[in-house]
Amino acid sequence: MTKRIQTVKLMPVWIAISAVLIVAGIVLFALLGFNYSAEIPNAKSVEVSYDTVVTIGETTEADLQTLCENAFETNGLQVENKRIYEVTGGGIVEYFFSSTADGAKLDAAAAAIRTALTDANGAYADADTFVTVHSTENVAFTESIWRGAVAIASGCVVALVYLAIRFGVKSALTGLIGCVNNVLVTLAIFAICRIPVYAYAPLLFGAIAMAISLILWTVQCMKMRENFKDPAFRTMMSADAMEESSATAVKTIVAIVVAIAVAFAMLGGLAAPAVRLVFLCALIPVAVGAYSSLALLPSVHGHYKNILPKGKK
Amino acid sequence: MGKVKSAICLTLITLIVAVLGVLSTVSIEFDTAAGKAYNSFISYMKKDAVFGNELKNGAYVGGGYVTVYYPEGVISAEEYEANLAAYGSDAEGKAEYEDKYTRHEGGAIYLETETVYNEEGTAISEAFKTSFANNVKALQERYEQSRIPGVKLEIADEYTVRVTLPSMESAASAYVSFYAYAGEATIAYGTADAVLGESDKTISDYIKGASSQTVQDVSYVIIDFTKEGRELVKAATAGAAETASTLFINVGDQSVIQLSVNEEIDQKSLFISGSYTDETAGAVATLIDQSVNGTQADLAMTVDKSAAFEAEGGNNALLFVYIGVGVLFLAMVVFFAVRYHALAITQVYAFLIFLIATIISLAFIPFVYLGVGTIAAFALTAVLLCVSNAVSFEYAKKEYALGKTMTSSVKTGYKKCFWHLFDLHVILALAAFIVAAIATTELQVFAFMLGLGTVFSGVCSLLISRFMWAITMGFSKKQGSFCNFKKEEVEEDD
Repeated sequence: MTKRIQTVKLMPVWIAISAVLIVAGIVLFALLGFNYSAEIPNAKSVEVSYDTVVTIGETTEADLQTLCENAFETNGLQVENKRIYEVTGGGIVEYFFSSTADGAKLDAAAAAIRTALTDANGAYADADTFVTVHSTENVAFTESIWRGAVAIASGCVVALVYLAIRFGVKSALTGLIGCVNNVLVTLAIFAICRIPVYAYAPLLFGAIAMAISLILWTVQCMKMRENFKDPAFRTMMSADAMEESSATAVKTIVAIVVAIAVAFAMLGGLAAPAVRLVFLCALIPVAVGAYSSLALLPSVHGHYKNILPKGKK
Repeated sequence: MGKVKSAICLTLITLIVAVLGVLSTVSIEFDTAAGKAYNSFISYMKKDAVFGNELKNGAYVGGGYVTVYYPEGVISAEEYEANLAAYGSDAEGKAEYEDKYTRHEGGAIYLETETVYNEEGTAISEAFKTSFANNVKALQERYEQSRIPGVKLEIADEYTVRVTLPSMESAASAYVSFYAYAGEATIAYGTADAVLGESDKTISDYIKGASSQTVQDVSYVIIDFTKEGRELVKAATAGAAETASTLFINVGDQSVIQLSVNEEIDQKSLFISGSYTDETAGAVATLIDQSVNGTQADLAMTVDKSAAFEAEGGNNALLFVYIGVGVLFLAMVVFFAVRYHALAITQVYAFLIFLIATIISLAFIPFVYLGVGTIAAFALTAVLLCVSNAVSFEYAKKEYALGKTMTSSVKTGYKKCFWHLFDLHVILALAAFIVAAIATTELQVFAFMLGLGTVFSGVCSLLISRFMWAITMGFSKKQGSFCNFKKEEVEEDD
């Protein structure tokens, strides 16, 4: 006989894990918020604009960028991001630095670039160039955040009403606990680990957590309905019945989780850095979904009385 | 199903899938000189700033645009230097100009001392700071109300506002220029200066709000009047049947709407059409609505030239995604071929139909676009389709193992798992569409594509896969080995 973890008996452990993560996440979120450094919400930047004299040259634009990058390196500045713009009659290259970058160093680098560009004997002597140092501070859009949160909660409740009709109110209640837990734990992990995210990403990951939670708990519900028809289950207590049923769902749940994880990992692994960050981070709601559907939710559901169909126990 | 019928069906379906596949993915240039080309469905898909966009003729337009709003009294260092240089050898003029402006910390902007500083000229006035904060709030409200996915607003150099818009937004310039308008909204009749209404009343006493609507390709700006506003406009336009005139809706000094009037207007809501597109009508309506109900922008703003940037993910970001999807497709084919042998054909057809339906939706549903969220939704629903098919195959496999015929196994297997898969799809689609109905921007598009993908997955797994199974099965004599299904061996007692 194979020995397996008694998930239902370990309910306090699962609840403690979730509670600790959620509380720690809330505290850190309240203190520091999410780490939005992926899109550099508060940044300093050096902008170099130039005319067509620079853009028409075969390598002049690239050389100008090398010149700038050397100046930053000389001044001990680390470039976080670079953006090249096309404007009527020329172009702009903008280098982004963290908001804590030393202003004096930035000014020194900008002055060095300015000197190099205006050097009468230099390659850019005939070009019209301009170097400026900027600081930017993001203005957050709050409506999309609260509407997103309301949307996820509403979507979850409506789906669980259907689940209640099809599988019973207790299943829906457990599903609701699962959705809330998955969304909060996912966001808590982002807050605790300070994982860099884009502004829209926390809501996206919350929605992914909700979707995965719904899929996996529905699979558990289906297995329960199928298993509880078996006369062998009718003699069991709720906790034991849930334990047994959950064990038969492990294979399917693991298969779904692995498939989603492989898809996200593959897309993330092959993608450009900006896309990779999102897909690899999306593995967190997948992992949280696996944990809750295999450990937390069966243990919670197993503690309800009479989860077996009426009259069949 | 007989062999002939199966062959005809399979050929027809293959042809349809192949044609749609080519139409979806291959763009053909058949007359380069005349610029005639067929553009694939994929090329019609709008892409966010991460992936960047191309025009229909293949010209690359990049990831998005950035522009800067300069409030009254603030100019860029570049403009300052250019203006100063224009004085040439006029030292007196130069000195006068230099006195007029103060270099702001960092040197990226210059502030007009008279407008921005206090009377003593020692510090930036509190009034200017408050007015600038109001301008930022007004811009924030306008862009937020527009619900443009990927829009970004930043305060740059303390006293300018920088906006980033994705290149998929066709009316980007309309948003940028309209939202620069500052001042109170007013209704005028005859001339733009002839403001209607009593001086002690505000515009919200006359206008409830504004919205936009597009019906049969005609876009309207809708102005909703209050009872008092309706009376005001009715009284002003009473003589319009005799003398035609113009009704103006202004924001500050700018006329946002100029409506020719040749009859009395007595309407609760005024529908105004013109040369609006869906987006420009939305921009005008948002501007009016925000000016009536939101924070008033105090300082007139000028807009810097817009700068176009390349796709944030690099020029090959999309290519890498396509490669990723291709690799996943191959992995899926290998998995199904190993586990279910030739039954993998059924899965391949179902997946291709699912993929084509997704591409067509992305290309032709106006508000959806290809972004990271869309790809995540696609990945989730593609997995759902694969899992659903695997589940139904497993159910049939179990039935076959019990000794039933293949036809009976398939029928019973599908019957047993139909409601499981139906429930799974309904639950996910319900949640996704509800989220899409309430959420905005990126989350809305993700949820909508998740819901739509779930519907496609349901149709493909419960209808198309079963049909394809019936067709492909007709070609095989050994149906068990065709699907890699085995009957259980029963030991007989002696």
